[in-house]
Amino acid sequence: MNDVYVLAIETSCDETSVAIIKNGKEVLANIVSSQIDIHKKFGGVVPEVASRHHVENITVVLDEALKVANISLDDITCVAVTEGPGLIGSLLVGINAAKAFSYALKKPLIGVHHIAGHIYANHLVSDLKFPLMALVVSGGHTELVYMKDHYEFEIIGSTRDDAVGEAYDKVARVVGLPYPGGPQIDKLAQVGEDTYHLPRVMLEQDNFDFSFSGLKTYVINFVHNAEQRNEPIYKENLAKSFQEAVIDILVGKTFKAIEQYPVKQLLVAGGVAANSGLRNRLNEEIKKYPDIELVIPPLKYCTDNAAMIGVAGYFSYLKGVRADLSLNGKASLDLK
Amino acid sequence: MKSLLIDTSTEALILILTEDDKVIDYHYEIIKRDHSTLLMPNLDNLLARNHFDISEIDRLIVTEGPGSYTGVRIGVTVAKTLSYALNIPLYKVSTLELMASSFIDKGMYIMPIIDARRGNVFGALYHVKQNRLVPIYPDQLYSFSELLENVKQNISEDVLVVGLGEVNLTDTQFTYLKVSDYFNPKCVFNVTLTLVDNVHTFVPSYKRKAEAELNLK
Repeated sequence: MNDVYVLAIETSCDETSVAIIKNGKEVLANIVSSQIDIHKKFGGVVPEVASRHHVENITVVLDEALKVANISLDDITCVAVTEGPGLIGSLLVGINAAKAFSYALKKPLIGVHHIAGHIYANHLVSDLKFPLMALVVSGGHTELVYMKDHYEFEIIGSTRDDAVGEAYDKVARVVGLPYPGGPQIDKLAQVGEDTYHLPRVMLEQDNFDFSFSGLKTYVINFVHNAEQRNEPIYKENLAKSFQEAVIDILVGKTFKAIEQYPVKQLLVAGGVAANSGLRNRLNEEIKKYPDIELVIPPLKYCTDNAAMIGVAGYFSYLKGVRADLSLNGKASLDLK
Repeated sequence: MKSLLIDTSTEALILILTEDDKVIDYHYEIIKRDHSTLLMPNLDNLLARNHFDISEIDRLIVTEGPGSYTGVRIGVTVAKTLSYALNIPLYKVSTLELMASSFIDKGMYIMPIIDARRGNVFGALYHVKQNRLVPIYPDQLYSFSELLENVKQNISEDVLVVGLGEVNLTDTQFTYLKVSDYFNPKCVFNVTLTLVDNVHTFVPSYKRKAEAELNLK
C-alpha cells in the first residue's frame, strides 16, 4: 500500500493546530498555536475571541506544518478535521479551512470526533490493542470508553455533571490561581498534604459514572466559610486534598471497570492526562495487572493538538469514511 | 481573467463568477444562517455547471465585513485557504460597499445598513460619482437613529437606505429598499477591490470588539 499522509486540522477550543501524520504513526509536523495567554485575562476561554484568533492563525499554522513536514501539497493523501464537539465558532474556522483545502487539492475530506482524537493519540505511543479501555479526562469530558475494535466506542461511564477539568478550573479560581487552573493545582498539590479529607463522590456506587459538581461545591463553600471566619487556608494542602479526591474517584472507577471488562490496554486521553498525580497513581495501580498495558501519551499529545486528529483520521480513512463539502461543525456530537 | 467573489457576511450567500468584464454566472440566496454548510457545495456547483475547475480561477474576492462575525469568518477562512492552496491573489471588499453597489443607478446617496442589535447598525454612506461609490461616512458601528439624524443635518438630497431585513422609515428624505429585491451581479464591477498583501495576516473587519473585550475595562 502507498504511504498515507494525513493533513489534520484541530480548532475545537483555543488552540489552532495543524499536523501532518504519515501512516497514522509518524508525526512529520504538529504545529500548535496556543491562545492561553490571550484568554488568561478573561479567566477562561472566550468563544468569540478564540474564533477571531483562529482566523488570524489558520493559514500561518497550515503553512508552517507543511514547511516543517517538508512535503509538497501533492503528497497529501487526505484532509482530516475535528468536526465536534467543541466551541462552534472555533470549530467552523478549522472545518471551513479543511473544506477549502481539500477542495483546492482535490483530496478526500474526513471529519473526526475530538474525543476519538484524544483516544487515538495513544497510538503514537503504542499500537492500539483491542479490547481496550480509555479513561477520557479533559475540560469538557470525563468518560470511560470501551473499545472492541477501531472506531467501536462504547461509553460505559460518564460524568453526570461537571467534567473533571472544569472542576479543576473552578476550584483553582476560588483559591485564586490563574487560568488554566488544572496545571496550577497539580503543581501546588506536589508540595501539599491531604489534610482536608474531601468527600469521594459516587465512588461506592455500582456503576462507572462520575460526579464532580458536589466535590467542587464542597471546596468552594469550604473556602468561602473559611474566609468569612478569617481562618487561614493552606492552599497547597487544599490542592493536594482536592487532587487526591479526584484521583481516588477517577482511578477507583477505572479499575472497577477493568475488573468487569477484561482488556489488553488501558489508555488515558485528554488534557487532564497531563496531571502528574493521576499519571503517578495509574502507574502504581497498574502493577497489580501485569497483563494490561498502561498507555499515557506524552504531554504534548494530551492537550489539544492536530496530531491526534491525524491518527484518528488515518483509521477513518482506512475504513473508507469520507465527508462531503457540506461538513459542518457540531457543538455536541456523539462518539461513534 | 477569471474571478470568483465570495460573500457570506450577511443573511445572503453570494457567489459571483466573472471573466474580464462579463458575469459568467452567480448564486444569490437568502439563507439566514448555515453558510458553513452551504458555501462550499454551492461554490462547487457554480463552477461545475459552468465547466470550470477551481484551478482555473485567477483571483478571489471576498467581503471582509462588517456583518455577522461567524458569517464573515467563514468566507474569509475559505478565501484565505483557497488563495494559499492555489497560490492565487486575494482581493477584499467592504460588505457594505458590495450591498450599496447594486443601487448605483437608483440614487445619488446610498446608505447600506446591517442590523447590529440594540438599535445599532453596521453602516456607511456612499455618494455615487461616475458609477463609483465614494464613501462619505465610513464603515462603522452606528446608533441607527443618530446616523439618520446626522445624515439629515449634513445632506439635503434623498438618501436610499438599503439592507436585508424589514425597516420602516418615517422621514421622507429616506427610502428603504431591500438588497434581495435589487441584487445585480454586475455590482462586482462597481466596487473598490483592495489586494490583500499578506493572506496569512488578513482578518475580517469586524468593526466591533468582542463583548468580553469591551467588558474588560
